[in-house]
Amino acid sequence: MFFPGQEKGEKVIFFTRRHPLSFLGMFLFAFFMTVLPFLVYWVVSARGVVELDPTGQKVMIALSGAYLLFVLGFFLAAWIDYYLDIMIVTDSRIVDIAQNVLFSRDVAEANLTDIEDVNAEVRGILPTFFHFGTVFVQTAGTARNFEFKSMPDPYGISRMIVDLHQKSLLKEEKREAREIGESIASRRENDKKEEPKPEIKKSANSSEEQLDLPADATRQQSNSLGGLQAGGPATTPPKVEGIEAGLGGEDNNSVSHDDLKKGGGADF
Amino acid sequence: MLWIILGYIAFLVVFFIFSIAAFYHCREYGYTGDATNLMMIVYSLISLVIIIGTFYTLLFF
Repeated sequence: MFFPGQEKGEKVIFFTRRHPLSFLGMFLFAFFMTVLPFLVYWVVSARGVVELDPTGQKVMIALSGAYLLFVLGFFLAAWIDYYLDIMIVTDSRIVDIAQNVLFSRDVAEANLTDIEDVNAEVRGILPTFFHFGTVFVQTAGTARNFEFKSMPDPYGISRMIVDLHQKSLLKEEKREAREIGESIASRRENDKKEEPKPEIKKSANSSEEQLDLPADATRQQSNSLGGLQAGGPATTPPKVEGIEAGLGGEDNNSVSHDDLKKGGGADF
Repeated sequence: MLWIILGYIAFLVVFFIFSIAAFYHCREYGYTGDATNLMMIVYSLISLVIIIGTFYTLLFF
């Protein structure tokens, strides 16, 4: 099935009109509108209350023809109002097409992921016996709510909408996860392309080989080691003041010859 | 007699315009395989029967 405004690849899952019995009232009304005046005229003329001359009879015939055509037109307009009210549920959205007699048409739609609540209501004698009723669909945010009147099997429809809503949520989550994965992969690819290969330099003074890494790469490497720096040619040992002073620096507590001449020891 | 027929024809013009509008809705918003085509045919037939019957009664009775 195809409906106007259907997107490419969109699949119609469910399509329904109002239950035929919801049109019964209008049908009976049109039927009595057709029959009742003629019935009344037949009863009145049979009792001899009204007697028309030939001209009056012709006027009556013309009026009757016009009246029948008027009722027929009224019936067609009501039927269009009934028959072109359509509820469409696709795999991604819900569409409500409401035809209001002629020259007035309202088309509303909402994504299945925006649906918050679905209710079904069956009220009345005919709806209870023939299983039709109203389906209410509440949507999130500023999107309008839907009210599908006289839907056949409203409980089944509401269950189906809830199922489709959950499926579309799962689909949306999968799509988002896939997009995130793809973006991470593409970012890694870009990083690999942008990262230059480390060049090996030989210093002129010594035979030590030094890796000339860019500053960012060095920082990244140190971050990846969690702040610990492994011993390597490019790394410098951390400065520890006490140790450095004890090993290579001037020791204030050592005893010199001058101190011995003075007769003293270390300056404590 | 003439004014009765003229009045009836004037009504038929209005009815014809209304019918075209209704048929436009059926054709524009109906779907393939639905009952709109059947309804248009039935409506046209009933309308023709009423119109022909009325004219026949007016002119020959």
